[in-house]
Amino acid sequence: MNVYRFEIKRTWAGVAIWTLVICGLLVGLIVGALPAFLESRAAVEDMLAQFPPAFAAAFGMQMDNLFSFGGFYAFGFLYYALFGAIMASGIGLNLFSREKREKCMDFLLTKPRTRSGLFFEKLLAAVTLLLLSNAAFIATSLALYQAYAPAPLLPERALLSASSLLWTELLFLAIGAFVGVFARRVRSVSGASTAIGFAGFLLSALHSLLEEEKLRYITPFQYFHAAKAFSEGGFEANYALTGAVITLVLMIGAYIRYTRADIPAL
Amino acid sequence: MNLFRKELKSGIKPFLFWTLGLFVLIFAGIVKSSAAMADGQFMTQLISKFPRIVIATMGMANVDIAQFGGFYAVLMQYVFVLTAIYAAHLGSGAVSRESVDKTYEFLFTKPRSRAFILSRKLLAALTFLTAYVCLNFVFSLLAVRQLALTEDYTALFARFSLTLWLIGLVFLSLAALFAARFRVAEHGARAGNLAVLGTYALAVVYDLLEKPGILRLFTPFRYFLNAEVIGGSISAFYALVCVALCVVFLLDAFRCFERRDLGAL
Amino acid sequence: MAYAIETKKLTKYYGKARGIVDVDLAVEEGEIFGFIGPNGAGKSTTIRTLLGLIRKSGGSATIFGMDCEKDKVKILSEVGYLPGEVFYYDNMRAIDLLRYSASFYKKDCNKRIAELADALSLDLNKKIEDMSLGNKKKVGIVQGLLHSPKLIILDEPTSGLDPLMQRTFFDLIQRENERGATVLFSSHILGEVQRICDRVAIIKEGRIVDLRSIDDLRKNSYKKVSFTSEKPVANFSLAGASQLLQDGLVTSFLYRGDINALLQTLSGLPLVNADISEPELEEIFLHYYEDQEAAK
Repeated sequence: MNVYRFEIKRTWAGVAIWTLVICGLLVGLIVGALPAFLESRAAVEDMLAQFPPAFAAAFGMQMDNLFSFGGFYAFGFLYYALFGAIMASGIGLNLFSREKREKCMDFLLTKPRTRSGLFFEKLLAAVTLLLLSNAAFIATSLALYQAYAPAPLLPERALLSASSLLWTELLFLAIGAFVGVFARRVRSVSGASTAIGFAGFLLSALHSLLEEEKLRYITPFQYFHAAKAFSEGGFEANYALTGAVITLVLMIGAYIRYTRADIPAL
Repeated sequence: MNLFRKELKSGIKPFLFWTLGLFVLIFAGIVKSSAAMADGQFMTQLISKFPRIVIATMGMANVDIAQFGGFYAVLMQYVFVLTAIYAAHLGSGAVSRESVDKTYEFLFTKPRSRAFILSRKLLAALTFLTAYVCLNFVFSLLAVRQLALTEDYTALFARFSLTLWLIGLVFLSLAALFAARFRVAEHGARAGNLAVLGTYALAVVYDLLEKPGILRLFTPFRYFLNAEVIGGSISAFYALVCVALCVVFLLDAFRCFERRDLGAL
Repeated sequence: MAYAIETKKLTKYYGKARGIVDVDLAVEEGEIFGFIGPNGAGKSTTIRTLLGLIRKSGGSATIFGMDCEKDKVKILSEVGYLPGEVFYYDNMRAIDLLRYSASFYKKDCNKRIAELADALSLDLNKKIEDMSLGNKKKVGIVQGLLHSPKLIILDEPTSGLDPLMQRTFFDLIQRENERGATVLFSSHILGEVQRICDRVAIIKEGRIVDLRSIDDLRKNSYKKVSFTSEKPVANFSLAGASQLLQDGLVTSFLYRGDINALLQTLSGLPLVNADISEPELEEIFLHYYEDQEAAK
């Protein structure tokens, strides 16, 4: 497990900073704006009264979902997911292209360890870091939920919703790992992970803007939908499945490549 | 100069990749805008009831999405971010490409001053940025033609493209400066990307404050307010600020680059 | 005789381009085996195939009787590899890297690390990236030897070392060999090979063109002869002499044949000075090739 320890030692600091940023943002948004948001419900209801009754009725049904802890939580989610995606794809890129970037493939791969074993130790290190980061996030979310959400409390739903960040990050970890293993050169981990994270962010923003349901299949931030987790008690099966399948496929692809590739001389 | 040409050749592949992203964003955005705008009236009223912070996080502050102009402004928000990242990538690449590829011994022992070399590389970077912004203009025009709208939005697109270019200049030169200053190329790249992220966050904060005031100076994303650009004007002051920042950053970048030791990571 | 390394018809193609073709090697346990050839001949490819860094296209390769692909992990615990170009992780001190390297082997290597670093005068507390090339190579040497491997594979190991360091390095290798380690040593610097190897294989364009002992190679090759005479010698001829050059009083040629005939001829001449020497392996090597080409 020395590779595991090595990778964690080299990576945990960056992860800690990102976690602080994400949790800080979470606290800031909920503490700073949730009360005001819930209060604005009255104003919205007034406004709705001016619209034709059928329209108002259709939208009215979503009011409860919107003006809840869950609905508001989902607003910020776009940003937690942005930072989380950058962090997670950065971890994937970092760990799985480390030897390639620092030109010491020979060093590691001539050690008495199967390539398979090396891959899994790195993967375990990555997942450990993500679990720790999300433990902090989930704990913070739950604490805020207890403090700020109106009764009745449904902590299981809060837990599920908060976990959506973890599943999303696992997907981006797989993306980062895949790119890291397959790319001939990785010049800048920061550059690539920012680009990947923002790509996810832009796809999500596009989807919100255009309200096209089919777009959700290519909107990674919304495979595990935080708001729906709250309102309906679960992720939507088809999107969650899409996310899980993509994660697995990319990870398996990275594994196969890592274990089978020829390593020519520098 | 063959250096300039070589820089253009090696930057073509990333350029095409980023252009593809731009294309998708603009075309998908504009062609489908009718759907968004139809609800626009309602959305605008609804959103106006939300507390400022929510409006700010949705990126919909100070804008009327029912109008095409307003919709385009929201779309442009995202193009700005995309462009800022690409500009940062261009700027830091121009300075530290050889250091990262370990080919600096080849290039910097040729009979050319460092300033000469850097200037040619930055010129190539600038060319890509300009081309990118022009494509933004062209894509917007092409996309809007699919909609058969009555008004002519060419001038609006031109204004937004100009502001896009100016903001891109700032991020390009800032990233170049970071790359020149930091001993380790990766740290420089990280600083550039964090600058984009950070200023974007600041822009959201700007939207949510009643009287943001001086904050505007710190976030290029709000140098040119949507309301102004839609209305038909581009702040001359902030245009000047962009150019000034670009010049200052680049001068410092040149200075640092001249003096630094090559051979670090 | 137990073979440390044995390959039979080992072949590697990179797509359509040939890497190595039908390479047969047999390195005996306890010997120092040289592996020479021009750049691009296939030395690195062969070595990297043995180590499992690249997959062979055909043939077989075994180390200590174990298959290189199937038993890779077991093999690698007894192999030390010193590559030609040495890079390590950023931001690490030498001692940190060496301890990390040691953690892969089920032995306590601390004593060995200290011994080796001492022998090479290596400061273990410096960051590797701040070291000169020579010192980085020293780290590489310690890294390859710290687990007292039974087989040491060196791929152009002395590029970048100053002559004193080269001597120290070869002394180290020889001591390891005396301790029972087998050494496979690839190089295109023939002076090194000549100095320490028992046998040598020559590879060219992916194929082994010969495999012999060093002494054997010399026996079948030339002696360099040059003499200075009191008066210019006209019409000098001797069976077995070739590449005759006469410059004023100095005559030089290459001689292959009975040494007595040579000495008798020379003793008949009024000499001021005579020089008979073993050619450098380099010269043997090049001539060897010329012979092959001429023979075709």
